[in-house]
Amino acid sequence: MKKQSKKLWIKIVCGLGIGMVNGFFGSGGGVIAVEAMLRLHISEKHAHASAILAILPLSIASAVIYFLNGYVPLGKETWLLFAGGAAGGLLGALLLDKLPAKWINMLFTLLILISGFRMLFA
Amino acid sequence: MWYLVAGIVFGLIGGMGMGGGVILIPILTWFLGASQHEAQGLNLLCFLPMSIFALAMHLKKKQVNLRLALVLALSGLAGSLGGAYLASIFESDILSRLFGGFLVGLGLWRIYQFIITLKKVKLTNKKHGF
Repeated sequence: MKKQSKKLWIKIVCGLGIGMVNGFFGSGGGVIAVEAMLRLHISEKHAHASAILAILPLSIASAVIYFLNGYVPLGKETWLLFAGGAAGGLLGALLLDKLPAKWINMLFTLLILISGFRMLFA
Repeated sequence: MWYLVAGIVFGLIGGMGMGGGVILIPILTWFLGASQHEAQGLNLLCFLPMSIFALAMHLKKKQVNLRLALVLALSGLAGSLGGAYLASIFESDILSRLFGGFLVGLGLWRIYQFIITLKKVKLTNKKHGF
């Protein structure tokens, strides 16, 4: 019983941290959610899929605040991004267990390092 | 047009549950001239349709741990409101640098994880799924 409630606390603290990051950076919560879930002994595929569900309500809440602050431009570009995102999302979910995850992981890591250094020192 | 391409790339990576936003935000600020705040706002917004489609697919494949996701989501709500408010206090310029630092940290962390996994695979000589 005690162990279980301790575990719940860990999850709640994880959730708070994920929410903070996701709200502050407008992204990144999912990446941390995946890491947290892997540590809570969820399989890799389940972690990636579950992270999307965990982040969805957080993103809605943050998006509302961003919108109220006028940080969400609503033009043609936004709808194109929207459409592309939806199509890509469907495709990505379909292909999650078919694409070479190892290579995508490496490419992804390289990309965030490059853009990270660029933004940090720009 | 580039927005559509950026959207698809973002969706592909995001739909795999790998952090599409982490890629989309640099694309938006770097190539498409958005401010850091706008890029973050756009990412949050674009995450919604993308995630709903991806989620439907994952749910169909039964790859979602509902209980854990809901606990994280509920406890995360407070954090996400606070975080979004905090972001509005910072200048776009500073926020961008902080985000860059976050990306670098994330990248290094992933490399560290990768090395650890490699070592483990070597030790157990078992396929580890990475």
